[in-house]
Amino acid sequence: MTSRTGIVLGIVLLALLPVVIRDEYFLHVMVMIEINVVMAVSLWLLGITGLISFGQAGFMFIGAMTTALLMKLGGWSFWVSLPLSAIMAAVVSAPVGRLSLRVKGVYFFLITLAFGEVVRGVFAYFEHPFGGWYGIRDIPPPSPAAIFTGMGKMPFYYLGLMLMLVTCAVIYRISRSWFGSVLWNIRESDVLAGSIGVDVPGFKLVAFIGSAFFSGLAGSFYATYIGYISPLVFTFEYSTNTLIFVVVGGFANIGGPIVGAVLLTLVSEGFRSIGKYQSMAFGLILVASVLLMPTGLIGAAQGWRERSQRRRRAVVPAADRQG
Amino acid sequence: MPIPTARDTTRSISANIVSAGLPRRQLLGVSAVAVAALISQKPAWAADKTVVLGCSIPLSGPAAPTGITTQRTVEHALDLINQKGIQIGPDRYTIVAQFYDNKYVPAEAVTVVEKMLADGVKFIFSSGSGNSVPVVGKTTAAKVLQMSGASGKDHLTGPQFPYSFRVQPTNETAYALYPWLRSNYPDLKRVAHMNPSDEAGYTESEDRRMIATKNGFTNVANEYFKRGATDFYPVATRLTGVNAELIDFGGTIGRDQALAAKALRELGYKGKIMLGYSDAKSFVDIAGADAAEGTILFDTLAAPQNPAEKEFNDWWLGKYGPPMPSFAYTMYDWPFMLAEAMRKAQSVDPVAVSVALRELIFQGLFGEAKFGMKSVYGLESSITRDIPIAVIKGGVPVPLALVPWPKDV
Amino acid sequence: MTLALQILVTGLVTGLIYMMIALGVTLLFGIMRVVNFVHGELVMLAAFVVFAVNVQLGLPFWIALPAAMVMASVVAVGCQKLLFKPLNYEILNCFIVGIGASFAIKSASWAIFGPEPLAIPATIPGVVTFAGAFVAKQRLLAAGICIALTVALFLFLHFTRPGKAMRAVEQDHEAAILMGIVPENVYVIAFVISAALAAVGGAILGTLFGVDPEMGSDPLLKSFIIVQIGGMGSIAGTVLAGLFIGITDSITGTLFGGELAFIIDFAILMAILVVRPRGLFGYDV
Repeated sequence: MTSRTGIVLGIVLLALLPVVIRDEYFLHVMVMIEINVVMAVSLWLLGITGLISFGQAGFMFIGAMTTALLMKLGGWSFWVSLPLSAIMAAVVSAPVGRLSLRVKGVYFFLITLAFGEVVRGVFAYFEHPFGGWYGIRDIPPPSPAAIFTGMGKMPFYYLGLMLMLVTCAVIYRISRSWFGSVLWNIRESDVLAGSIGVDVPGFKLVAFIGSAFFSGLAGSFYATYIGYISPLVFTFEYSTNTLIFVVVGGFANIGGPIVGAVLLTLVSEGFRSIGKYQSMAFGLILVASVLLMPTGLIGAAQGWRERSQRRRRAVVPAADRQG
Repeated sequence: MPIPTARDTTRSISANIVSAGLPRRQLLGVSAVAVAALISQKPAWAADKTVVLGCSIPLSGPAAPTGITTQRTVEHALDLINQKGIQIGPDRYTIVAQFYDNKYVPAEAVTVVEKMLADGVKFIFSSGSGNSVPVVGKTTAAKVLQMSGASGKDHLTGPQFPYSFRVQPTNETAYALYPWLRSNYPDLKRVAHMNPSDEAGYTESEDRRMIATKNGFTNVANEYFKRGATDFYPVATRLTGVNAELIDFGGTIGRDQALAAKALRELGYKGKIMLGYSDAKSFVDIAGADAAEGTILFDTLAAPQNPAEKEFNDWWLGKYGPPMPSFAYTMYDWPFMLAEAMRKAQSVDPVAVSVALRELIFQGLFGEAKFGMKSVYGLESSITRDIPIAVIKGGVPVPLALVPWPKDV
Repeated sequence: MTLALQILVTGLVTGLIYMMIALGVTLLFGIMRVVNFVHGELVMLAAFVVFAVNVQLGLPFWIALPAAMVMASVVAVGCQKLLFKPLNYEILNCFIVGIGASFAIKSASWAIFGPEPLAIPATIPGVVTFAGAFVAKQRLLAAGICIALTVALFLFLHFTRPGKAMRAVEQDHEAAILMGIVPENVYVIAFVISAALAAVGGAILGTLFGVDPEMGSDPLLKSFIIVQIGGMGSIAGTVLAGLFIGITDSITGTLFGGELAFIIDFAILMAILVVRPRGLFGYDV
């Protein structure tokens, strides 16, 4: 099957990348892309249900903080901290989700937005142990130190690559499973879904927790990679950027957030030299995307493909054009 | 947004994407290769006879005024330096500055420094402690000379960072300031501190409280506020309640200073206010001349005194128009010191230049300047010089004193 | 006692200002179910216009203010026609496009006006004291303007034709059409009014706290909180909630420090959304 070999080829390409290109800055950008893809895809998982959350940065922060504290204060290994951080984000998300999901639409956005800010506020207010506005510095890299300290960015690239591929694979499977179909149906109409016996709030909650889990994962990796986290990082703007990745990329399938995250991270790096216009560019991209390309890049690509197919079909001789 | 079901789209997307059935993962790979091609072209300036100075400064966000002032100051300083050039052996070098916006966010600062290191930059200037501290480990490991205009303590300055230099006395001004206050205002006892609730603010507060106590003052309050807040009545109400005789604004910068001063005066505070890193005109504008009256501005030049300061001032007014932000003067010396160190070391290798820089005694805008403070940090790496003090009278800053750097620090 | 009075007075005044900005948000939501994220930037743009007219051109404040209101209305209606209408006022899409537009406008403002903080001199300088509490006269003026405009809005909605038309559209969209009301026209009026309120808010904030490109974000977030507590679409709710938030902020800010105030605001928001998502007064006007 073309898509499967294509995927394998793509993965091999990605795996060989750092061997071919040994530029540390390039690898750094790739790691940021990996993180952004995980965030975008986790937001998409929730988006399948029809819910948009502005609190992703909050769960990311929780994951990052958990890792930071466990590794720096507790001396624990990254490999233990990583799953624990994701679980912590998921655990926190359960009650938050229960409460937030009681409301819909705009109110849901607002409550997730509020949650993101509350997380920031709490971590910012308590200097011990959360570091206050200072944040937490000198978070150690994963062990074995020989690999992660001595070899530059390459090990982080591979670690991030694995996390990204695992996340995408899991979420992809979920979206294509019966569970995913239910989520899609809820998006179309939760009244309808409820009327045939689907436990709508239950499903939404699971999607919410799942999305928080992966955000926590991304946060944990961020903490150990950058080594420094603070409330200035995980802002509403960060959540919005993640949303932009998904909206611009498209909702239809998992390719959307991936494409969106990759492209827009590259765009923002390209814009680095005119930093103050970056926000403007993102804003305009978002506006243009919602107005002109409501189904995102992959939706537009699909539409283009359908139109060109129709055109081809129109060339069929009149005799074959039956009804 | 009409969304087709997942099953329908997947195959058609796979089939669709341009060159013959590339699924989405491979799209990722293609983009990555494209980026690689872009990045692998080394910038043209990595040639001979120029030295690159990479500057990581906040050009957007709330700290942007500082960043933009820094950029303009550095540009002018380098213009003057490059007119003569730096003669090293048979070669004449010029310094080229590359400015990057770190948005005052640590991750951006890290990205920016990574980019600079990857591009082979050997001399870096970083503005803001939140941006300088996370990268100093990397720059030291890469043996790159990092100069920081930032508040800091031993996580930025010290023997473990032999190539890190603090080029602006920030929290350190307190070492000179409080002894001067003690001798000039013998009746003053009660000091309150107000700082932004971030890295810089905490550092300033710690140092200032410690130095105030050492000089016989009593710290009656230690308040923090959210940087960029607009309504200072709550903080000001707390401060007026403690009957302070002097409020030290510490690391507060920009508009926060003016709004806080205005709120304090409106709420009836009658004591002294002391602040630094200020743009005097902007401060008076926003606080109002009444509220600003009598404010002590530390490390602030009221008006250009010597020819070098006049030249800088005239150039700025000519190019950018008024006002000339007074804290630009405090950032003026270090590019010249860097150039001088290169001359002395007869090298553009950061390790050699660091050694020369450490030993340099430079005649700067405010007199003699050199890197010192070994007694505090264990290594001479923080700049020491005389501190000009101004005071606001009748809506304009007026020179008050030039405080010499204490000999024992 | 003095401290309590000071806290109360400070809180009431700031509460009134944020309330007035929040009224614009609640109006739009009540009538059109649209959350206009650009609202915060209207506040900011208006402040810049007042600065330009009042400080740079030297014209009096009472000329600068209407100029700002007109400009804000133009931008608001522009957003309506170019952004929200093409999306058929669909909530989610409008929210997202509004965020994008606000990013772009804010960034453009940075680029055009630069980072130097600007100030608008107080219309009435000086301070008033009573019972040991201090209030700047400018703040009292601000409070007066807010109260006057709120009353004017109420009268408008209940005693004028366009106002009643707006309430009709809010109560029952289809019935209003049957009565001969053109919803689109009503929408335009709603945008104009909400923009005008935002503009006055911006002008006032500019005189009190200075003008800068970021100044719209906080009032916008506070507006969301206020509108949610009071009930989207309810004027009375917004008024009460605005005062409540103003006083709460003042209490927490003065007693515990400014940052806690922000956390508590959002915690209150979450609590309200959980306990009573409709807010105090739901969809009434």
